[in-house]
This record gives sequence, C-alpha cells and structure tokens, in this order.
Amino acid sequence: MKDDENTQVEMNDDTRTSHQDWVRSLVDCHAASLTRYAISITGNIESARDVVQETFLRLCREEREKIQNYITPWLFKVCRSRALDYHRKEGRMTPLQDSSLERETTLKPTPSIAAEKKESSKLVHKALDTLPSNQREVVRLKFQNGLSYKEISDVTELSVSNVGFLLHSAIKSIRKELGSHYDLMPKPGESKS
Amino acid sequence: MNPDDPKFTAYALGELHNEVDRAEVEKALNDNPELQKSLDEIRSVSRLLEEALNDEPAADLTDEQKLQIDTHLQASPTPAAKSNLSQLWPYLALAACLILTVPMLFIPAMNKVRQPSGVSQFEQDTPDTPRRSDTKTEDREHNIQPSERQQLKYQKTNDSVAKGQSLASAEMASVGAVVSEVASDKLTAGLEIHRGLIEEFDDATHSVGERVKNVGKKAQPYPVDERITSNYRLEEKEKRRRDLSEVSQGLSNFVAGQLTNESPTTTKREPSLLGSLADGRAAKDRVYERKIIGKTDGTTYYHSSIPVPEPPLPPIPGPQPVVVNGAFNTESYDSITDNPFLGAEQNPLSTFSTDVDTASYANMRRFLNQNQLPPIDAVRIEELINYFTYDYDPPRDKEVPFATHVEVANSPWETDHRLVRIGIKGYEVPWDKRPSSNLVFLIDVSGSMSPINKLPLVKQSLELLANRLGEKDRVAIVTYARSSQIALPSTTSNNSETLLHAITGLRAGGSTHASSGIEDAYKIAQKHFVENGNNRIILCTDGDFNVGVTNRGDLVRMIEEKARGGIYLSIFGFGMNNYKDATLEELSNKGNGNYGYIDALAEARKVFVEQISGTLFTIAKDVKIQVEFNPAQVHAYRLIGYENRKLAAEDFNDDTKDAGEIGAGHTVTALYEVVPTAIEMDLPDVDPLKYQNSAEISRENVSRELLTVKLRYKQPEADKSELIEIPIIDNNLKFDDASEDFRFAAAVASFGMILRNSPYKSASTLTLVQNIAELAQGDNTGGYRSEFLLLVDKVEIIKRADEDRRSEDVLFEEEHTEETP
Repeated sequence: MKDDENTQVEMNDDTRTSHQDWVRSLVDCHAASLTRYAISITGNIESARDVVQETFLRLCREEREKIQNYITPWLFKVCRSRALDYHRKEGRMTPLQDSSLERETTLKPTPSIAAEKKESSKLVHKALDTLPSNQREVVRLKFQNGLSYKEISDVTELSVSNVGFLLHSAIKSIRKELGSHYDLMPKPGESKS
Repeated sequence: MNPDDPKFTAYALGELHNEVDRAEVEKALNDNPELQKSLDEIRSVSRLLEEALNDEPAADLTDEQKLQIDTHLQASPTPAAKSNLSQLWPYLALAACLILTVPMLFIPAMNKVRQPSGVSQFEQDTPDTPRRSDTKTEDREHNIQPSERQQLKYQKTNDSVAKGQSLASAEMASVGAVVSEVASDKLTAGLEIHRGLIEEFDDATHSVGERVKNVGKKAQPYPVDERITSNYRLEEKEKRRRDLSEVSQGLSNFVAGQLTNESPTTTKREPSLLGSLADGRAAKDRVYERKIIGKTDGTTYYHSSIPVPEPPLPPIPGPQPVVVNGAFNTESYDSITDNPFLGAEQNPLSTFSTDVDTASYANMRRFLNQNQLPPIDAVRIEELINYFTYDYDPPRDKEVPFATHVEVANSPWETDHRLVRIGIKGYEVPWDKRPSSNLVFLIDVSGSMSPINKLPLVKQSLELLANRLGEKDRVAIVTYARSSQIALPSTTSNNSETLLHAITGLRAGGSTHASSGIEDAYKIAQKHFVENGNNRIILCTDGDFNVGVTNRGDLVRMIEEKARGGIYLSIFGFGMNNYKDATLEELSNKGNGNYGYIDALAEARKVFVEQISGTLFTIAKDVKIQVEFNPAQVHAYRLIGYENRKLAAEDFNDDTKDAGEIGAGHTVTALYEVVPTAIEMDLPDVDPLKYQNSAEISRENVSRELLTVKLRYKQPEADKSELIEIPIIDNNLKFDDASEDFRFAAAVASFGMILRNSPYKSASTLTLVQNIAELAQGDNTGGYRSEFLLLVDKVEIIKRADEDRRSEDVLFEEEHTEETP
C-alpha cells in the first residue's frame, strides 16, 4: 500500500497545488451549484446548505489523488447521498412552505416559481414538473450542472445506458409539451446557431 | 434509424462516443432530412433547459459555513496532504533527500573505517572532516563534550577500553582496509551527486550547504529540520537561525513545508530523523537511531529516485507505522514523530527539558467537543499527562525547590515492558506568602477576537484573576489591534473596581499588530519592575500574531532578552480560528513563561484560580532531566512524549542551554517505556559492539540499579544550576499494584498514543484506557479525571461514526479507483 502511495506521489507532481487551495477553489466553484442541487432534493435551503457544508467537510478528509480525476461527480454523489439521507429522515417533517424561508426553499415541488424572468423558462419548468422525479434529476444534472452521461451514472448509480434512456425520454416529453408553443421551437435554418 | 432511439438523443447531446454508433447516426442523418429536424429540436430543447435551469437562483453557502469549512481545513488532519507540491518540488525533494542521505552514507562507513590505514576516498575528499578516534568509547566521550565531560556510571572505564583496543587492533587493521574500500566506492557516488547539488543551491541555501559539508564534523541539525521541529527549543538553534539569510530561511521553510506535507510513508519519518540528528548526538548514535526507526516501521527514508547505496531495510512484523493522516501539517502545528526505542548500551543517556504546558490537552478537548479527532501533530503526549495534577509529596524544605518521585511497574500496553514514571513536584507557595506581582496583560483585541470563546472569555478569565489579586500586586492592561493602547496604566490590584472597569471596557476591532503592543507591555513592566517579585507579561490572543515591522526573529530575541532581565512572558491561547499553536508555544518558551490554551471558562478557572500559583510563580528555571540507563538491566528504552523537548546529552551540564520552568506547586510527569534485558527486542540492525563489553562488566560491578535520574535546575534568580541524582532500583512492581497516579498517567499516555496513532501503542485500546482510568480516579479534584473518561468515550463515538461514513462510500470509491487508474 505504501509503495502505491509513493508512486502516486511521484506521478502527480506537476498537477499539485496546495490541498487547502484545492478545497477552497472547489468551494468557490461548486458550492452554489451543489446547494441548488441539494435544494432540489431536500426542498429546503437551510438543510441544503448543511448538506453541502457536510460534503465539503467530507472532502477535507479525502485523499486528493483518489478523487481529483472525478471530483465533480464525487461532490454531487456525496451531496446527493447526504441530501437523500436528510430527506428520508426529516424531509416529511419539514414544512415546505415556511414563510420565513427564502423563496428557493420550495424549488422542488414547484420549480416554476423561481423562473419568472422568462416566459420560456416558465414553460420549461412547467414541462419539467410533469416529469417523473428520476428524469427530472438526470435533466438537472445534465443541463443545470453540465455533467456527462458517465458522470451522471456515477452520481446516481444508474447505468450509462439507463441515464441515456431517462434523458431521452425526458427530452421527448418536454419536446412534446413545448411542441404547442411554436415560438419556442427552432425555425428551419436557425438550429445551428 | 429511429429518432426515438436513445442513441439519437445521445448523439444530439454529444454523448455518443462509440464510433460505430456515430457513423450509423450520421449516415441516417444524411439520408433522412426529417431526422435533422428532430436533432435540431433536441438541441434547442436542451438549450432551453439549460437556460431555464440556470435561471434558478443559486443559493450559495453562507459565509459562516465557508469559514467553518476553512477552519476545519486548517485544523484537521488530511489523509492526503500529498498534494501540496509545486513545480519546484522534485528538485527540492532531491535536495532534502540528499541532505538527509549524505550523512547516512558516510556515517556508517566512518564508524567502521577508523584505522589510519583505512583512509578512505571520502576522507580525502573532505579534508575538514576530523579523523575519528579509535574506539567507540572515546568516540562517545568526545561527542559528549563540549561542556563537561560526564562520567557514564554504568560504562566501563578507559582502562578497559585500552585493553580492548590493543587486543583488537591487529584484526582491525586488516578488516578496516577492506571495509574502507567498499565504503568509499559507495560514498563517491553519493558525494558526487551531493556536490553538484550543493553548488547549484549554493546561493540560495548557503547555510544548508555549509551544514552538509560539515556534516562529519559534529552532530549539527540542518536548517531543514529547524522548520520541521521548529519548537525544538535549543538556544543554539536560534542562533543558527539568525545566521540564515532570508532566502535560505524561506527555502528551508519551503522544503520543510513540503516535507511535512508529503506522504507520511516517506516524510513522516524525516522529522524524527532530523529530530534525532538535531539533538546533537554522536554520529554513530544517529546511525543507530535512524536504523531503529527504519526497522520498526519497515520503511526507509529515501524517497526519490536517487541511487541509494544502502539497500532498504526489510520490513519486520511489529508495530504499525504511523498512519497516513498524520502528515498534514498546517502552519499551526509542528510535526511530531514519536520517540523511537533506543538501545541502552549505545544510548545510555536520555536528556530532555521539563514541560509544564497543558495547551495540547485543552486544544484536543476542543476538537473532540466539536466531534472531530484532533490533528495528530496537535497531540503532545507530555502535555496531556501534565494537564493533570498528581498527588506527589511536595519537597520538605525550600532549599530544593522540588521533590522527585520515581515509580516503576509494568506497562499496561506491553506487559513485558516496564514503565518508569518520573514525577516532579514543585514546592507550594502559600497564597498569602506569595511574592509581589507586577503583571501586564497584553490583550489581542483585533477583529478576530470578537467570538464568544475569545475576548469575552479573556475578560471572564481576567475577572477571575483580578479577584485573586491584592494590594501587593500591580496590574496593567495593554491592548493591541491596529495600534496598541494602554487600557489600564499599572494599578495596584486592590483598586479592583478600576481594574474590573477596564476589563469590561475591552472591545474587539481592528487588525492585529502585536509588536508595538508587546513593546509597550515590556516598557510598563520594566517601569514597575519588582525586585525578587513576579514580573510577567500575560499575552492573551488567538495567535493571529501580526508582528508587523518586527520580524519573528527580532521578536523572539526581545522576548529572550527580557526573560533574562527577569520579565517573563506567559501566553494563553483562545479560540479556534487562526490558532497558531507552534508560534505561541515557541514564544512562551523563549520568554520563560508557560503556555496554556483556554477553551472554556472551566479551563480559565483551572489556570487562573486553582493553579494560579503555578501559573504566576516560577520556582525553578531551566529544569532539565537526564536519565542514565544501566545496560545491565535495560535493553532499550523509549521516552513517551517530550519529542520537541529533547536535549543533547552535553546540554545537560551546559548552563547556557535554556530549558523548562516549573511554577509553584506544579507537577511534571515523564514516562519511559523500558525493555528489560531479559526481553528480546528486535532493535536496529547495529552490529554488536566489538570493543565494548560494558554490559558484562557492568553486571559484575554495578548493582541492580535500573537507571539514575539526574536533574538540573536553577533557582529563579540564579545563573548556576544545581544537580540532583536519584538512583532507581526496579522492585518488580505490578501495574495493578502501582499508585493511582502512576496508573492514571499510563492511561493518559496510552490515550495519547491512540490519538497519535503511534507505532508504539501496542495493545493500547480505548477500552484499556477506560478500564485503567476508571480505577485511577484519585480524589478527582476539579473533576478533570472524570472528564478524561468522557473524552475517551467521545473518541470512541467519533471513530465509530467515521467508520460508518467511510463504509458508506467505499463502493463508489472502489469503482472509480478501477476506472481511473
């Protein structure tokens, strides 16, 4: 085991920066999107923040070499599992419409409230609401957080083809849902822009 | 191709990686314009989705949460911590490694090659290397200079050496020549590399080079180790540090930082190696120690690809090596490596400075109360042991300021081994007979001090103290932040209202700038200096010590100078952010003061009320302990804790060498784990000493004495030290029959070794600690011993939770380790 570690040390020489800086940069880079993701599971901003903080505390204890090559899915995976834990334990008891909470707290049940800026976003959110939760989750990971099929499969523990199928079905449903709004669909020739 | 194929969606999203599938989709797209329309639709839907989802407000962590992560990051052990390297690292690693390796290369050789006929190439190459003397014993005595030559009680005299020498000399001549040839071959290779390197580094690390070149001359620590074992408090070290240019200091800093951040399988060793080098032992002793370490944990120190003349030592079954997650060394904690076992024959003397600090215990408690295990380097076992008061009898008269109590019984974690407890009790100064005090509180009121566990706690602590003081005590308060301010001019303490008012008026705000504050504090203390009294600065800070215009070297020098002039500096650390353990400990040591960590009001009460005399009144200074082991009784021994308090044997009699202070009523406890001669122990791979049959001679001549404890101390005002010698005989006491104090101290040591994941913890378990400590509660004054039990429980709980958490994610990680080689 020791030898392995030594080899790794030598192999990764050039990619090293301080562990602390690394964690800090990850906090800067991912904390917000992780929190947004966690809200979609816990439905509550306070708990989502706790979940994300826990995720980063967990990161502090990790060996960088082991996870740095798949750090984004790692963060989402840990965050997801903590959020689901939370949801299982306390989710049902959390008042989802507590007036003292910020508006984002109820993103999951009705995501559309958050998207007032744009008509199109409103429609998309409405369409998203009709999706089963497993599709909604992969859509979120894919389009909100830019994860690849492979990464989504890591996070959700579904197979890659399963992820592909879920995304495919989700897009199909949304296409259908939006189909009536012609203004949203691409006009010929515009598509490649 | 069916547009309803998930492959098609994957293609549209750029997720189709299989060449065959892609070709198929592309062909279908060419053939069928309808498909192209579907493709466009999928892409625009995904754009809409991206847009809509990214319109969702992102709720970031709160600043407080981020701060907590940061704090955790700085304070907690990181398993990896190997990542901390920049481009320069390979180069520096090479340097550090060579600095370490080179002496190793030729020291063994030099020990063998001593005959004039065996003048090796090495010796020609380095003309400034002194010739080694001809016998082991002369070697040793030579090295025990420069202060006073000490008589080794359990060793044979020079007469017998002479005999051994003449008998052996013929044989030596022949063997010597052969050995030297082999050795010099190896050495040339090593030295070539070493030279090239030295030249390249010469500008930046002039003094590093100097040391390496001079390495054969005399055991001297290298600059690198000064950072690693930077609270290795030898005055000499400080002098050397002054010599270093800024550049080389920065560099050694960097090297050390990298070393300590490196994988512990390699560098975790270095500090101990350097530590042992640094303690100025004779060259051969260093080889000995190095091998011990190498052997017991089955690793070697070489960690670069440089050809190493000596083959790595084979791993042996035995104690586990120090575990990975100790390697993380933030700027706040200096790395500590557990003292190894040393053979009594080769290393009969063990020397260290006393330590009455208790900060490590309170700091550990703070971590545990936050449900975290403390970083390994934050656990100093001697401070855990010394946190507790033990019921040792105080000295009968004032002439000798302290009484020494030694007890020997078997070790609970290794029943074949003996545990030797050296307990020192300072005489108690009755409160009404205390000397007058001239106290200046220097209080950090910078912005970082505002949390409830900092300035508010400081104020409570001061109030506690103020209530104990009276008309013969003077108190002043100086605060520092952006600039220093005298919050209370020196006032006699019977003006308690004025005093309390000034304390209540303290407010946090501004950035730290300690240097002018500390100057002001010393000025006030000087102005009201009390002859034969207790003149002391008491610094309360969270350690974010911005020394501003003064650099740390100047600061340390000023503190040392003032301490010599009779104004001591005690430091109390508060809070958790920015907490700089190493700095504070070093400064307080330079200032002949004590160093405590106040994590809660209860701790403040302990320090400022219950043990106020010990906190304020020094009864003996520069207290050093030297133990001489009798090789006829002792095969090997190990000092538990005191890693950064070790002294060179010759420092014991050297009155200019600074050491620890003992306050009124203080107890100091040190434990040695001793392996009796009857017990086989796989000690390092050192050949039996051929010309030294001391053990046998000793057996005839010397009594059953196990060891002799020698203490040196100075009266607070004295410059000359006094000596106490106490020979100890092992009466084969069983552990269970030992005193409660003995058993409790053993439990604390065992607990400390568990927290440090020491390679020497043997059968130590939390349960063992519990069982011993439960039956050794004594009168549990202040409830500290029962609190200890709670902390042991706490560790158990945290460890269990950690394991649960780890197993949860094992699957995920395993999966990825396979996929991402």
